[in-house]
Amino acid sequence: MNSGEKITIYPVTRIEGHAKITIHLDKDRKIDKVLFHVDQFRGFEKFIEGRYFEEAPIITAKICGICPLSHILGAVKAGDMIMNVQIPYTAKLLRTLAHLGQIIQSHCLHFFYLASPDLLLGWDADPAIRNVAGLVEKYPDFAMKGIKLRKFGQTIIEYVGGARINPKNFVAGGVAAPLNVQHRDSLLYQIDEMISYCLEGLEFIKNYIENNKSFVQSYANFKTNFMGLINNGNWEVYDGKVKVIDEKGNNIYEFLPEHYLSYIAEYIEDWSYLKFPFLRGLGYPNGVYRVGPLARLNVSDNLPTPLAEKEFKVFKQLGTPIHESFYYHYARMVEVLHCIEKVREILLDSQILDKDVFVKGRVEKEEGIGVVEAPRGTLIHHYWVDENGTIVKCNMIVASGNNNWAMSKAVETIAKKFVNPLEVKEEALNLVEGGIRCYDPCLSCSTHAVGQMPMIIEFYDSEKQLINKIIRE
Amino acid sequence: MKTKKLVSTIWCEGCSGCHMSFLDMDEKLVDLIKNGMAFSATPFTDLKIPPHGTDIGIIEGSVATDTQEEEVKMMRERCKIIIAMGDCAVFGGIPTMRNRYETTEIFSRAYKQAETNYNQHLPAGEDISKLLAKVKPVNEVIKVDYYIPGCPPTPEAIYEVLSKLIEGKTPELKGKLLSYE
Amino acid sequence: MKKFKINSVEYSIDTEKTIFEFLKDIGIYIPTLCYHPYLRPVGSCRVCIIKDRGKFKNSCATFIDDGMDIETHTPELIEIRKWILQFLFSERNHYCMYCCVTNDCEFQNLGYYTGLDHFHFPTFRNIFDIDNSHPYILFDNNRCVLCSRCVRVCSEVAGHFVLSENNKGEHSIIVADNGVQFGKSSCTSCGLCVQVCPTGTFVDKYSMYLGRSWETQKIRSYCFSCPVGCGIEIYKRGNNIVKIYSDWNSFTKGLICYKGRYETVINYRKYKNKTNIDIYEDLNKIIKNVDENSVAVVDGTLFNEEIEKIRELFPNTFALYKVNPKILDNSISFDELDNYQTYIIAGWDLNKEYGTIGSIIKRNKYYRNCKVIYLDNEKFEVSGKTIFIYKNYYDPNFISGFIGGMDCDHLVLPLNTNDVGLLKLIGNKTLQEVDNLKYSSIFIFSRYLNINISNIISRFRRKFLFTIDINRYSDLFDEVFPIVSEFEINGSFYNLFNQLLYVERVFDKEVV
Repeated sequence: MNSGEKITIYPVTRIEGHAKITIHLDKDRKIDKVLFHVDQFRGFEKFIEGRYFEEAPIITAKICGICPLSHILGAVKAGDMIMNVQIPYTAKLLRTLAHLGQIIQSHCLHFFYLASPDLLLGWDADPAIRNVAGLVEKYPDFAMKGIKLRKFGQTIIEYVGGARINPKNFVAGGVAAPLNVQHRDSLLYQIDEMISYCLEGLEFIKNYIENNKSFVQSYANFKTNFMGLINNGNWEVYDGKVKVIDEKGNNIYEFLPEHYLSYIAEYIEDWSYLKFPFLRGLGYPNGVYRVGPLARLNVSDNLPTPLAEKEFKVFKQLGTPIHESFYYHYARMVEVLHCIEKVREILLDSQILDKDVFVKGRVEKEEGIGVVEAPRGTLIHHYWVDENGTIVKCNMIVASGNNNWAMSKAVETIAKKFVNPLEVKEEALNLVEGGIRCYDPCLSCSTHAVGQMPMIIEFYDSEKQLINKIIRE
Repeated sequence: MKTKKLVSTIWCEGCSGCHMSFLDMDEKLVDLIKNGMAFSATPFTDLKIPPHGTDIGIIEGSVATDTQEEEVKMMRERCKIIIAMGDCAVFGGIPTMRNRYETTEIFSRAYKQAETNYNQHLPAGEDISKLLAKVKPVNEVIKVDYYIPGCPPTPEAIYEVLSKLIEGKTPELKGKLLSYE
Repeated sequence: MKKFKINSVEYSIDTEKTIFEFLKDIGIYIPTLCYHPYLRPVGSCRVCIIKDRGKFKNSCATFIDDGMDIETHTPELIEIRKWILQFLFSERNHYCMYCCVTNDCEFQNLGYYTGLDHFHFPTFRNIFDIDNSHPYILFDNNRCVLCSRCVRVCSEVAGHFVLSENNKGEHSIIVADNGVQFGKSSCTSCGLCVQVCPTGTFVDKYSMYLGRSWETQKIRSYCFSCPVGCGIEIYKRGNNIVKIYSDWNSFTKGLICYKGRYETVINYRKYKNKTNIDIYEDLNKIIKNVDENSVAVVDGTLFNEEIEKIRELFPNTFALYKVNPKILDNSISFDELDNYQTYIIAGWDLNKEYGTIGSIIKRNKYYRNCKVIYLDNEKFEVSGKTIFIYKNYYDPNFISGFIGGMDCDHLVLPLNTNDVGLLKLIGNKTLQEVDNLKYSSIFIFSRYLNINISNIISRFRRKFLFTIDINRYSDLFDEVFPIVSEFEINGSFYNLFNQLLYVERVFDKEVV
């Protein structure tokens, strides 16, 4: 397959994972294809076998340190199903609350720490300063607001879950501890400030888009289906039905998460450890779909909080559905705004401090499926257990994994547009990486398996002989 | 202005939780930058490889693939001080749970038996790394100077170690800063 | 009188004491792992190592002798303890990050105490299967440090002799019944192995990740699930019981059975409901007028205070069943149960009911070579001091006819927890013995209704039931009211040794 020359970008930086991009050239030195390789595999599905299902949340949390909570919630929801219990209303509120905190922190990490250096410092800025430290030095105020927003999200998780990373309070059957009143009040106290920071970030990305319209519209613009959870048409991250729309925005499926096996399949390519999910009914690659912030906004009809709904209406005018990858950044900030407002809504719920947050049952079902919207998209945990609750097998489709094909496609369209194989510029390669960054992939997650190495650009001729090598240190 | 201490971090077989905890230093991270810490190659910057003579190299995650083994050795070559950050780097951690099985068994579950699989095929292209038979903690591959255990280590523990090293002192984790959780 | 030195300071004692006990008395901390204050020391882990006149000894199992010159914290000893811990840590899977006892773990605390931040040795030498076959306990040999506390508690204290060690050296593992699956073994699920395990080898499935000891509030109380009334510690968090441990300092000295440790927690979680009725406080509000046609029936699953309250409200209150009046003659104490040579058992299973009494008999049979006789044996001989322990439904006449003139103590085992209280407060009069035709309405009060009531209530026109499990009998009654569990009320009861035990409310009452 690698009949022409090849350019390698490794590791892809400022993404949360181990990945590599290779650009393959044909005999005329034009770009033939671009492959996005995920270079890690850890085997969680295998080594979780034989363990008790209640250990699953805390073990799968270690799939990813960025969104451990999404994995925890996926696994505890599967646990609820195995024990066949309905968790108390307050427990559901607390789980949702923490998950909103997770989305706030993860989106802000990505937007402020990883993506904004490109936007603020420039795609062509010196790689040595094109990072969060560079941002801190040049735009300390903006950086500080990002840091505080992320901290707010982490604090929510800490208060509800007992720890910022890998919280231990979430268990099958509910939540281990109720929320205490001081924590609620301290969170409520910060909300107005956080909304103002978030609006600044939103304003910034809107202006950037306004000023770079042609760039944005040409940057990794391609059409796919979209998938996300919804709850009666509303934006949803914890519960609800899975909705799939096609590239024209038509509703093609709406199914209960438990039935995912009938709708989703995964294709394995030789060049990546990450599998390629697609819709069974449409086949591969026609059935590929995108998930994550843009997908969620594309499938939702409403973001039912005052400020976010206003922003959502403005956003929706961009198209139905919106296909440009760059709008992932925009969608992300709209979601953060909605999350903060929703956090306030939940904190003000009269039952939020209720102490009944837990019910326990015995193992009643042999299968448990937990589906949530992780910051990066739909996350599916599926466990089969025996009568004692020992996990017999396990299958997971992880958020970033759903975007695997889209990321590959994104880098290809960008590379074809911006990379001149005859004269490779660092900026151009950064733009290619940026295509991946739009999807904020969390590859440690998706391979349950996750670079830091020189960027090496290797030119291979059609005989696979190395003819040139450029190293960026 | 005093010379900056160059810090480089890499991320091997881990979950990035330790890097998240690193960022969880929040405002203290800004303090460190002001007090003379500078980033070289890290997952959140764009440099891909630390220069020779980098002051501090931080490794998250255990060693599980041939590429990672090389990366870790490269870090040792290029950094004056190596810190193993987090339980995976220090002890081996969760990834070592796969040591119970042969790599073929693990692959077979993911790429042959998984319920959602459309085709059955083991990815083995030339562009992806090969798994080592056993996952190892970092100090089984290279010499490590300091250890910060924890899953993840608390931001306070990371700050303690980095701030001491930047001042040229020897860090020691005691009390609540030492945690395996 | 023994004279000896500790860290160059001279001391003397005239009693038998281990070095560790003495150091503890004078306030010197020595780390220990296999040592447990209520078990016999074995000195297997060597963490408590000290040096006496140039020789290393384990302080937990070595008795103080004349002329000893003991060093406790020299740099050499501190270093050795660190190495010993490393050996233990690196041999198996001591990865704390997904273990449910993390930060609540004796072994982990030793690592923190010695400042252990990495291992010098390769980890994961052996990997064992996880045994999840037990209904209450998750058993993972990969986390075992072979301290043998579980083996000792299972035999010395609980008398079950289920757990033992198998294999040698690094392949040593703890096994149940010499190697069968834990869930298929003769384990009676008293859970003491979980309680003494210094690592996460044995963990309660029902309390996993629900709260570690420092996140919970501990309340000392007495178990209400059978008439023994063992001392327990209840760990609560929010409105949930995380776990129940046995209380080493109570009269039962750490003994407990599966009912007290697991079933009560499971029941509590199952029947917990915000609108449950507290008989003592709410009954007046629910039942305003009691006419002369109404009759109340109570049983021994209620506290004394509740029975009194009902009796106050209902002039006609009867016992649900007849209680053997001989239980009032139970005069021995729990401690004295250890002093017999022969135990005669009638009508109950040592492993299934009154579990702690079973534990005492079983351990005495082994350690003191006592005789245990089941009544269904055709011929038997008794020797030494004898006790006859039998279920309450045995007719006193039958019992005395059976034993004849044999000189033995008696212990009658009542059916329900507070049957003694029921007998004392209501007497032995049941509804069947009076002219019950004059009553038309019946109110039955029973927390855990465990006898057949259909023939008792059949002729009543209006029937009401106050119980915990409201769904079970709902079609037999006009109305069934849910009442609170034993954890949501202050109360007292008499156990079968005629001790009056007070139980404090664990949970605040929610506003109905």
